[in-house]
Amino acid sequence: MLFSLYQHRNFIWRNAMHDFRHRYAGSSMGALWNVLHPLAMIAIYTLVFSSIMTPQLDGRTGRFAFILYLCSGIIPWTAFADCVSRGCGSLVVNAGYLRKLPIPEPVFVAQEAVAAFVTAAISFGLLLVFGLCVGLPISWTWLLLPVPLLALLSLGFAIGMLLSTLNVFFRDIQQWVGIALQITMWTAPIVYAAKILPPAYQAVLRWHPLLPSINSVRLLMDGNLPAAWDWAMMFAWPMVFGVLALAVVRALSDEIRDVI
Amino acid sequence: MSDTLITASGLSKRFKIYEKPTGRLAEWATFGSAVRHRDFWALRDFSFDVKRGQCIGIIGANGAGKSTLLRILSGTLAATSGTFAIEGRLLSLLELGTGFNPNLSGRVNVLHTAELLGYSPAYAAEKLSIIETFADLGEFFDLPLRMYSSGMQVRLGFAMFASLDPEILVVDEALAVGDASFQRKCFRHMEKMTEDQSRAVLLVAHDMVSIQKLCSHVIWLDHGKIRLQGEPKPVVEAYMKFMFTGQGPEHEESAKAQASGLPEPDGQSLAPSRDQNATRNTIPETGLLVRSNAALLYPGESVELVAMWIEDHTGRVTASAAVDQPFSICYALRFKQPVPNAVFGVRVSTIRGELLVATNTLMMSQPVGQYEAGQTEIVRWPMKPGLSVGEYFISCGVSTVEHPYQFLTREVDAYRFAVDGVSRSGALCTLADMPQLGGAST
Repeated sequence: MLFSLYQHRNFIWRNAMHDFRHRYAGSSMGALWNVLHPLAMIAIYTLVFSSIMTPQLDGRTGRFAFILYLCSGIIPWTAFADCVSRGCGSLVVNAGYLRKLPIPEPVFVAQEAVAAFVTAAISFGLLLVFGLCVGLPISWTWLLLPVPLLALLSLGFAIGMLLSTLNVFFRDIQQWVGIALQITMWTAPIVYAAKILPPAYQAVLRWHPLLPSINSVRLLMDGNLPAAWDWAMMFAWPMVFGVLALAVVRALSDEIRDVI
Repeated sequence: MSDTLITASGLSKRFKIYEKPTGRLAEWATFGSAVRHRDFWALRDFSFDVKRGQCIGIIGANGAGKSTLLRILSGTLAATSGTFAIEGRLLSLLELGTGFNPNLSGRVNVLHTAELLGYSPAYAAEKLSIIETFADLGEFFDLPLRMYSSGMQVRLGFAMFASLDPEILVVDEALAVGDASFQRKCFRHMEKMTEDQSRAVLLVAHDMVSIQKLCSHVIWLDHGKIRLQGEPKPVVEAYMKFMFTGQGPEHEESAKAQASGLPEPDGQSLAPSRDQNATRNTIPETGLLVRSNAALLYPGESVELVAMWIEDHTGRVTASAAVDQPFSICYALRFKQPVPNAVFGVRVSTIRGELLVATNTLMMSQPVGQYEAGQTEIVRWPMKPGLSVGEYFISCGVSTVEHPYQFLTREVDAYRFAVDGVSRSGALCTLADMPQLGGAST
């Protein structure tokens, strides 16, 4: 599977870029929407959590601390959610290609993952510039930021691969994914602080598949290194889902093109 | 360099058909012990070899397994069982479009698709000018594909696939969309591909004339199995006969076998001196046309059509009319109620609906007939030679002198027949004879 992805790397990259540029084709602001959407979301969350519900952040104060906290959670989360939800539908959407050309299926899921990763990378660039402006100290740990992001996207790719294959047979899955993503997001401290949760629940959260990566992003931004547990979980989860996806794809790959 | 480009043996394809999508879930949950699907075999035990220089035609009704076979060979469908090996590269122009991106220009699409198919970008770039000339799209070559007509997409697809120079080119009915001159160009290219014995072409088409013209070998698929294969002419003829009369080649074989097993008839029974009226007033037992699925039927209570067939100029029942011989369209009617003053009508049209003949016994000044319940009448409509080679529809109807357009029974486009032979015209009819030249004079 990895080899076929490597073989089609140009196709994946080109389609991802094309998709990125033309997702909002026809709208007057075009590709700018890729950034405007997350910005609008961040503005809303900031308003809700900083003025209506008071956020409790440990050790960090200042007007911009919460915005930085929020962004460093929402950007990776959005990338992951995009990767899963768009990846899930990608085989059905690209049925035309699959019927006519012998292109391996993972290519279409990978293309969504790459597009999501590029969007996240651009948003992070903007966020770090913003951070510098409001006095976030520059740190060498920023160089490690791509690592948790890549881990998150391999997880997104593995889940996307699993769901897109199943979605070919049961189209309802695509609808369920939206709901499942909402649940996943609100059960983890992404837009709120972990501190407001009961301690017992915080212990369970150690096993949350997304949290190690998102925590690591936040730590690295503040110039700290993540703990060993975070590093381990960050790579363990993509492995687990990767093996699962591989097993399902192997079992069903012959039938995908029969029903699509 | 091996002589054989494709070796396939025992290829079969089964599709699982589920009544409900939850059926699949039930099967998974029980690890396959609760069977909720039925099998549909689109292709069964298909074996063939394709050698360099061959153009193989694949014919058969819709759903016979032609596309399934081509999709297996081009790698977009996995065979349930059987194996195949391909020497060199196989490019397949399946249906329309071949997975082009509608937002990119023709030029960029060519480069992308070529890369996707595994060609190096340099090779594709090198072929680009040949493709541009072949496709002959003018300024459209640099416009996004969504602005293309379906014919233009096919032109781009064929030009590209042909120019990339694959060992095997697969063409699946796609050419039907292109205009006549482009089709001609494609056929010339396919001829050239096979001429020098280096490449092969697999062609699926419903146009029997081009199949016969291009192919060296024809395979007739029926319900996923090879029904007949061999030289183009006999296979196409057997297929056409089956399509129009419902009689398969097996029928003919067994009839022949029976005939050869019997002692020679006394000569008299086969001679035309045999009582003409006896044959002229009975419905033939074999060779009747089958009702087409395009038929529009307006049945009535007083009379019904019981049989339709074609007779050649000697009065023999035939599956298709010869292009250079007169023939007759014949039908038999049974009256269920008495009908005084009956008028019979016939109409012949092309597949595209152009009306060639539309007449009735009243217009032809024939005496009207009085019919009692239970009587049968056979009506013959003699036709002149000269219709172009191709397929035609027959409509028929019965009315009365009082109301010639109020039909007692009517069947529109109910039967199809073919005119066979060497095509000598591109239009609806041909000349009465060979053109004559007076010789050059100064």
